[in-house]
Amino acid sequence: MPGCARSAGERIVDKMAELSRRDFLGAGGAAGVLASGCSSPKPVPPNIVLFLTDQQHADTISALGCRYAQTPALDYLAGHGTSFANSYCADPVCSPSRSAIFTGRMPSETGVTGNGHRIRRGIPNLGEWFSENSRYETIYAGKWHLPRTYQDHIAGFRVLPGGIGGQGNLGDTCVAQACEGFLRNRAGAAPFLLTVSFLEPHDICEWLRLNMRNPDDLRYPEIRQQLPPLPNNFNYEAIEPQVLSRRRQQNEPFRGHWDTEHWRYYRWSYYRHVELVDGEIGRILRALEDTGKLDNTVIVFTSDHGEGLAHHQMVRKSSSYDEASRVPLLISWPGQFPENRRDTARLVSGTDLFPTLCDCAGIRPPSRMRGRSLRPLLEGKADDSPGQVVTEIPVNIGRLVRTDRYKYVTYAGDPVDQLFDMVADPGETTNLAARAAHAATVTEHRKLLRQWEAHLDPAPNQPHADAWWRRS
Amino acid sequence: MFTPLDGFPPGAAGRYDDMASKTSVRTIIGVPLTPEVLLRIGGIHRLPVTPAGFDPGGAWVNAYRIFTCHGYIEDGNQNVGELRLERVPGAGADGFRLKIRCRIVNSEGAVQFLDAEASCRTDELATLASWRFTSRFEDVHGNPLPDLNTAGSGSVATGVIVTRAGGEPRKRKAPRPVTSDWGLFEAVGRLTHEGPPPPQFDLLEGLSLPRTGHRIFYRGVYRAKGNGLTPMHWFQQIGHGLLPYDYWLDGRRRLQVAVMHSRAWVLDNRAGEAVDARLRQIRRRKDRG
Repeated sequence: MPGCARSAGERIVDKMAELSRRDFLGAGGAAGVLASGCSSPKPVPPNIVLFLTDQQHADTISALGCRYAQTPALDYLAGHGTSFANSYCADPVCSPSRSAIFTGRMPSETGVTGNGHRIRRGIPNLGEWFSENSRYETIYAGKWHLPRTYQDHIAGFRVLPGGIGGQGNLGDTCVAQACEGFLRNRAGAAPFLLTVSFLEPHDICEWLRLNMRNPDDLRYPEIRQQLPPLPNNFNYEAIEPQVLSRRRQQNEPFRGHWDTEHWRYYRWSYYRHVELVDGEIGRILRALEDTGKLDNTVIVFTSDHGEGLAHHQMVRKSSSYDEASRVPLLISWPGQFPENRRDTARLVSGTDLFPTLCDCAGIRPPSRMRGRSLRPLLEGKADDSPGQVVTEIPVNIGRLVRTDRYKYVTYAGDPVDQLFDMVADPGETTNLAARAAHAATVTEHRKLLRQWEAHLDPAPNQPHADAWWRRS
Repeated sequence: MFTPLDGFPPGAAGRYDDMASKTSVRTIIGVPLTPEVLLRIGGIHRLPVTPAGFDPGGAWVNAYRIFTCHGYIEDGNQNVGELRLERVPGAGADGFRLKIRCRIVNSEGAVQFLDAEASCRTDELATLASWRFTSRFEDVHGNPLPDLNTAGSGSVATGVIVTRAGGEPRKRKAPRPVTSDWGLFEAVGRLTHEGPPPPQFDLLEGLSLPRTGHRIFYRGVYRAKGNGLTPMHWFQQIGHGLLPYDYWLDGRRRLQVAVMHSRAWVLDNRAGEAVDARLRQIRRRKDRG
C-alpha cells in the first residue's frame, strides 16, 4: 500500500547497522510518516509480539533523545510506530507490574503486591484469555516472575526454554535464539501471540553489588571522556516520605560512599546493559522480517518498571519517582498505525496493554479491565483518555496519582505527601504538597485516589489494606 | 588499583543451582570479578598448568567453565556452561580455523548447544573471513526441541559483511576490522604487550550479533594473592553493546580467565563435568517437585 509499506530495499539490518541517529530520523522523516487514515483492514488477525525488558529507564532510546546509548532496534520500532512519553507502570517492582501487564488489573487486585507471588485465582492471564477466546497460538519466553523468575509451565502459554536467574547478559541470548528458532521454523497459518521477556537491563543489580566500593581510580580509563553527566535532578529537595530516604541510605552508592565519577561510571555501565538487550531485540526483528511476518505483526515494547539511574541519587526501582515508575512504550502495526509518532500528552498505564492487544486481535477483553485500549489513540481517532493514572507502590505501601499537570504521592502512615508540578518541574525536585497555595490541588488528588480505589476489587489479606480501602 | 577483599573467607564454593537464598546472611562482594575474587568465591579452584612449548599461534584446545556471580559471596554463584575452543592452524588460505562448542544450562534445565566454526586471519584481532554456526535446544530431560533450531553463516571481504540466517542474505559495510568474541579469546594470546594497541574494531557476538566500536588494551602484569595464581598478563576491552571484558593470561600466553560483568570463563579441563553436575542438580530438584 503506498505510503504504508516499507520501501524496497529498506531492511532492518541496513537501518540498524549503518544509520546514525541523524541518518535514521532523516530517512524516517522523509518516508516514514504516514497520513492518518492509513488503516485498511488486514484479512487475518495480526501476529502480536510483546517485548518486555526489565528495569529499563524510560529515556534510554537513542532515537527519542538518549545520547548515551546506541539502540538501533528500539530506534527502528520508534520510527515505525508510536512512542509514549508518559507511560506509567502499575507498580515499580517486577512481579506486581508484570501481574498488571498480563491481567489488565491492578496489583492490589491480582494479589501480587510484592515479588514472587502468584496471580490471584479467577483472574486470567493474557495467554489464558487468548487461548480460550481465539485461534491464537500463545507462546512465552523468558522471565515470568509470577511467582518464579523462570518457569517450565505457565498457564495459557507454550513456554520456550531460556533464561538464567540473575544473568540477563547470558540468559537473554538463549531466550532470543529460542524465539528466533520458533519464528524461522514456524509453518502454521494461525496467528501467534509471542511474549519475549528479557531480563536485561536488570543485570545492573549485579553490577551494583560488584561495584559497591568506590574505587581508587576508574577501572577503564579510556572511557573517562565518555562518562554521562549526572542528571539534573541528582540533587533534590529532601522533603520526602521516610521510606524513600531509607531506601536511598540502604543502597550501594551510600554504603560505598560513591564519588561523582563512580556515579557516572554506573550510568555509563547501565547504558551498556541497555545496548545488550537492544541487540537481542534486533535478532528477533530480523527473524520476523526474514520470514515475512513483520508486515502483519503488532509489536509492543515496554518494560516492567524503570531504574533510578542516579536521579534523586536513587538506584534500582521501587520508588514513586518517574525514573522508577515511568517506562518506555512503543507500539507499531505496519499499515494500520501511523509511524514515527511521539505522544507526549496522554497518560498511559501498564494496565492498558491487555485491552489494547485484545482490540488488535479482534477479541473482547475480560471484564473489570482497569485500563483501556490504546488502539483508537494509535489510529489517530478521538481520545477518551481518563487524564489520570494510578501507580501502586510496593508492598501496597504507597500510591501515586498522575494527572495531566501534577503527580501526587502518598505513603501509608507517613505524614509527608508529595506533590510535583510535572510541567514546570518534570525532574520532581520541589515538593509542593505542604505549601498553602497547593492545598486545593492536594485535596483534589486525594479525592481522585479515593474514587479510583473505590471501584477496585482488592485481593484479600493485603498489607496496609486499611490505608486504601477502609478510609472514610 | 583494586582493594583486596580483606577478611574475605577463602574457598567459599559456589554450589547453588538457583537464585533462592540458601542462607540468611548474604555479603555483598563489592568489587569487580578478578581471578583473586573468583578464587575466593569458588569460581576458581586451581588453574591448569600450561605445558612448556605451548604456542598461542599453534594448535591447541582450551576448555572453559562458564561461572556466573549474583554479587554475593555466599549465594547465587554457579557454573552454567562450558566453552571449548580448538585452534587449527594453517587450515585454509585465511590463517587458521577456530572450532567452537558451547553448552549453556538454563535455570529450568533446558540446554542450549552452540556449534560453530570460523576461518580467521592470523592478524592481531583474529579477524573473520567466514563462519557458520548452529544453535539447538534440549529440554531438561534431554529431549531435542528441533523447532527451535537455527543456523547461520557469513563472510567478510573487501569491507562488506554478508550474513545468512534464513531469508535473503544481508549485506552491510564493514568500515572497521571485524572479529568475534570467541576469536578474541584466541587473539589475546598473540597480542603484543608493547607498542600501540590494535585499532578500533567491531565484533560479532556469538557470530551473530553485531557489536561496534571496540578497543583492546594491555594493562601489564596482574599479581594476585591466592593459591595457584601466578602473575598474569592482563588485557581490557571496551565498546558498545557489551559490558567491558577483562582477560588474564599466564606466562605462556594461554588465556586462563576472562570476565564480562558477572560472567567468567575459567580455564578448566573438567568444565564438562561441572556442567553435567549442575544439570543433575536441576533434574533432582524437579524430580522432588
